[in-house]
Amino acid sequence: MTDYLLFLLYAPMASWGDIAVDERRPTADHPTKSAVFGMIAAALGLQRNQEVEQRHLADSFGFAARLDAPGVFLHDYHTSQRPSGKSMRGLLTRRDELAREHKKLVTKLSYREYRCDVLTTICLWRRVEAASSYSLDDISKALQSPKYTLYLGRKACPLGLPLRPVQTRAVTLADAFASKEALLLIRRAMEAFDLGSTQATNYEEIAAQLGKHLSTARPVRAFWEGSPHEGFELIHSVERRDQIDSRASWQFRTRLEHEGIWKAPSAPQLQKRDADS
Amino acid sequence: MDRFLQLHLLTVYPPSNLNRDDLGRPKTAILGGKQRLRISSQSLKRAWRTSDVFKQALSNGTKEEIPLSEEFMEGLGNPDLSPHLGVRTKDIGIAIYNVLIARGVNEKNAQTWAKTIAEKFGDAESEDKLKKDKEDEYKPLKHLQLKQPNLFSMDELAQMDQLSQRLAKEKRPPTDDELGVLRDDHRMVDIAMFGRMLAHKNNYIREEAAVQVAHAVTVHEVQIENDFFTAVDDLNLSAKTGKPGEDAGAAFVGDFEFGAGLFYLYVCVDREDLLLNLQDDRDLWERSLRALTKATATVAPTGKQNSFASRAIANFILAERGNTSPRSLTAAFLKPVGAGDPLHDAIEVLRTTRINMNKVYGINEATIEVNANTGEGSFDALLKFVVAEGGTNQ
Repeated sequence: MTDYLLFLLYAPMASWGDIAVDERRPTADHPTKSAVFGMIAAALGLQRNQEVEQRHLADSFGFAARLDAPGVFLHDYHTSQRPSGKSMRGLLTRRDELAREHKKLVTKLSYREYRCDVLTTICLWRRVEAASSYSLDDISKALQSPKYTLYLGRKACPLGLPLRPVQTRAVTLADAFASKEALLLIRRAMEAFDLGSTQATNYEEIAAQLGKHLSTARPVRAFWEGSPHEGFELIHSVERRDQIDSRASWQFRTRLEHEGIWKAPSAPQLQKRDADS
Repeated sequence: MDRFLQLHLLTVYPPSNLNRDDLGRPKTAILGGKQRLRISSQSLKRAWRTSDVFKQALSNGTKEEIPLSEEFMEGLGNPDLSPHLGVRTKDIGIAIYNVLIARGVNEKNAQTWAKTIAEKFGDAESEDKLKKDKEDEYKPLKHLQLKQPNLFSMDELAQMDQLSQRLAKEKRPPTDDELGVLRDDHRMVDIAMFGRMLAHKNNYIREEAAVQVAHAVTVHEVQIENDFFTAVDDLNLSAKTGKPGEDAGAAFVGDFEFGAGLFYLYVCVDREDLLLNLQDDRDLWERSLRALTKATATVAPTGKQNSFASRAIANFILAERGNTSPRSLTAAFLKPVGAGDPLHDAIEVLRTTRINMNKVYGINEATIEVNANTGEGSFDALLKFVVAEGGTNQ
């Protein structure tokens, strides 16, 4: 049995930063460990220059994500102007920088990708060889009362629901996602969205209600690391470069991530109008 | 202190303020599976950050006013200073030049030093070009004039006057440090709130911006076809009232003729981080929060700086203060607001979503509303709210 921490991330716009070349800033279609752990580090109050703590944090915990609503792709044409010429370096405010003639302004382009309508359940567990001093409990508390502003991938992507993590014990990851606690997470979201009654008793019923507004595509995909045998129907395993190595020099290591299908238990798990834990 | 300040705004922006992408189409986003118009986070930040409203609100300091010298005033054309809102002028270089000349600086130095200072605030004409156009014969000091008028606060005018007098006395040009001091407060706030500037050598160790601005999206659906766009559900909102205009009921196809969009904006400020970045200057912190609030409520993204023309007043503002994980209320609009009375409906659903969400998650935080639609609440009360310490429901 393993202790798991689960929380639900919902955002109208999120960006799971993938390898970026020049002005193309793509997003992956499912959460990156780097984006989520960046957010956790911010919640804990870790500074960007706390290299060791940042790396230990990501190294000390396993990461899994279930895509309850994968979202829709969005592409943003982002322009940024700055004054050209060396003499412009000593300028005082952004207003002064831009108080230039149009022809003296240089425009930097970037093409940034986002996912809209994203809903995902994140699952963390503490690794045996963990070096970080933070516990699952610390992370849970920090997410509820963060030290810095949180966002999903980019600062312009705030959360659309408050964070209220839950803990559970299970044998496999799939079981953790199938736990009553995990189900309560998503039902609470549905209640907050006021999209349906609290009469739903299992995942499929909740997803059906959510599916009226968010695309709750089937099958439900899950991503995890560690053993490939965690109760999911394995599709494949891919090397992904989203494990923070150096926060200061913005470098990432690769890790092996498994992708699979998660099957929701069909038996009812909640009573109608179940009280929250 | 309540760490997070969250501002939720419902504002009608006319079509002239819409962002466009590289193909000239208005920017969009999907929310609740339906297409919405979108104004990007970066365009909102830029508009607020560079606006006159922000600058003026920031500059209303508590410092004692130092009277300006006669020569300086003359150079500005003896403007009326009584409103204490600062002066909008091209002639800052001439004012400085005047002060220098009157205190015995030679012609060449006076012109050079004045130009050095003036050019920090905008582009001035080049002497060579003026000579080429023979303009210098009629207006010998035109190369000291800014091409575009800029707004200067009372503090800044006083500082420049004092600086000019000091330079004249010490017979030397301005140092970089002295130039740096001219907008010290504003620069600190600029960087602390919005992050570093692009051409700027970062003198500050901390670089995290304290203000988070979400991309703004319409609460209603839009459909965009072939560079034209129609209002779905016959939404044709009057830019003034947010209510359906006279043509509502007729499907409206057209480019710039589309009625306004009713946008939901979300801003989150980490007030503790801001205070830290402002080196614990409480007065500056209060001014910056009030300035930001004013800017978000009244400044529309235009792409044109110093433009008075495009103002948009927020129809409804809801502010929250607390320590739990901040969140936008975009979920209120997962189901798009329909025709009828979109502003009224948007306000209602925003309110009830917040109450509902807080109930479900057990959150109870200080909150305040300003409803321009019904006349409830006051903007002044909001300005007090954003700087209050917190801990009690004010």
